[in-house]
Amino acid sequence: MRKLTLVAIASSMLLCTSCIKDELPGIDADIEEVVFENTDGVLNVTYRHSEIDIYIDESRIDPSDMTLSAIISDGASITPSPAAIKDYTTPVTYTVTSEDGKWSNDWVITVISNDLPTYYDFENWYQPYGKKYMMPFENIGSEEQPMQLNIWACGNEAYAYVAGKHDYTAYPTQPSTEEEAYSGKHALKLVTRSTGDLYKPIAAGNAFIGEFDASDYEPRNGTHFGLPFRKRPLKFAGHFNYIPGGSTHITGEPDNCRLQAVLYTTDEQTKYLTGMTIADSPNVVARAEISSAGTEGYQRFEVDFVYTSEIDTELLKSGGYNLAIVMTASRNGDIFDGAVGSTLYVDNLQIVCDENL
Amino acid sequence: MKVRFSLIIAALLACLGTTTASAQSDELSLPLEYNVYAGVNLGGTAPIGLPAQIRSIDGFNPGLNLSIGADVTKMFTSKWGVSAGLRFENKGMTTEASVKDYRLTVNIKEGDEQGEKRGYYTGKVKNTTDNSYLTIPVKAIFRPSKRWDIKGGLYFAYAIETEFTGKAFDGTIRETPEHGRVAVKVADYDYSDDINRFDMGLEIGGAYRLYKGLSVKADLSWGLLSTLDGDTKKVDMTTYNIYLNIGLGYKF
Repeated sequence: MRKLTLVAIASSMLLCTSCIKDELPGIDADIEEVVFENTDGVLNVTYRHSEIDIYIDESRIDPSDMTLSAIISDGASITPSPAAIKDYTTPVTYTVTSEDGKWSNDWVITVISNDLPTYYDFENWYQPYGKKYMMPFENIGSEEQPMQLNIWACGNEAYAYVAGKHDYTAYPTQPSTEEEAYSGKHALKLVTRSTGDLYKPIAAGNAFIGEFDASDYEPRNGTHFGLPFRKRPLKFAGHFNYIPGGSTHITGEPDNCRLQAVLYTTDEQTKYLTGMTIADSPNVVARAEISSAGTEGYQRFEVDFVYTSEIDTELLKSGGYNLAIVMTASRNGDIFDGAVGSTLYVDNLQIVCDENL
Repeated sequence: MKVRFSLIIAALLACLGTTTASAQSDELSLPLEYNVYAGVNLGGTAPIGLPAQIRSIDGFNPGLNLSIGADVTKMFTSKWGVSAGLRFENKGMTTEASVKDYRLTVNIKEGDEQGEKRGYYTGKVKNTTDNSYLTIPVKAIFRPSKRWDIKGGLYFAYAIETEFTGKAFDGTIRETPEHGRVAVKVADYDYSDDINRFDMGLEIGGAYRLYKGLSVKADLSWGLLSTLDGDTKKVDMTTYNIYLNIGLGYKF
């Protein structure tokens, strides 16, 4: 009997150590999604942490009279109220405060009606808030009134955990030095890195037009390629310098770089192409691609867009097509195969377009 | 494992031998009692009161934790006495849990960017604890009848082998809420080197004599020192060894 009592006391003691407590107030202070009253004319929305870019067709939507609402983290609060804001002709900053009140983030919403630039010299770089890495941006304003357009994305965010305290030069995507550039102060420098992760051993140096969602389990789904493009591209040109790092991690083949430009139609199902769909999506209408096993210093390239179907000019003008430029220092980096150290420099990229359209 | 067990048994026998030798010159009326026992440890190396970041326990496996030991008892009167001994035992378990905003340090052990990454993790974790201890229990004994022994006292333990490993999976991690979330499909961590070697605590229990020298016993040992090294702060948790040992003993 005594023994039974003892066992009962012991087990009840163990039980009381395993009670689930009430959930703590949330610490998230995020805008998870923006929702539009009228989606007609909203071409694309890209999310980076604390920055949201909305690409619109100005013939269908007026940025000085827009209504949107924000889905924010559970229990969090937002000021000012999105319902009170109509004018998005300049970027609007919202402050989101977490449910527990301890964290807050400033989210900047930028509405973009401008066309994408077609020449990219990678001279402009910025450090995203709270990050150690650098990102290229395009200046679509003037010298006096610069307007930063963040069309470039890469996997640096996912690499931040590996890079830890190191500075931007430890990341796969970074600005080159002046000596390494073809012209100007910087070129785009892509380096394939080791991750120390058994499951994803390398992070290929990469950069693309679009957005990167680091919270996706499948990195190939997290790469969202392409932004609205209203011109008819003819040629993909530029300068590159490729130094392969040796044989690749998995197959042991010599490493190759690849630069590709893809034009595709968007629809309800396909807002963007991903690492999974870019190779064979039926939405693709034109492609221009170059790959290399290595160069002797900088080499100029110029390749034609190969069209597999005719362009619908009306649809093109209203923002129904996206352009993606995707560059990698390791051709099979999407399946984590590549040679650590493979380095691709890219400078003065250009999309040559049909002037008559 | 085999080598370790035989070493322990040799040590126990040596210990018994010396006490036997000294017992022969003992002039007190009640003789020393020698007892050997074997059993299993059931329980957990667990926090007292789960942190609120743990949202559910999805699995628990106590594993097979063996213990083997010997002790010497000296009764001063027919009812009261003391005992001391030496025991080799495993304390361990595997738990699976869902956590929210749990501060975790993931250990990257291979590659050219080794090191520890710390952040707020939301997702699933699976922990395995398996520590091997050499334990010295020192207890007072109350013997209300010939069949019953009620014991209470302290234990002092030294971990000769420690393991605290785990996996974080199906989750996301970020440095702080000011940073974006990064997916963690699966990541390993290993805090084996951060386990405190020394543990001590309370031990209470009882034994019931079944037949001649044979008895069944149950002892609850409650660790008072955190098994995780508080200085490293790799996990936001203070865990204690709380185990129930059930076994059979034999008195010579």
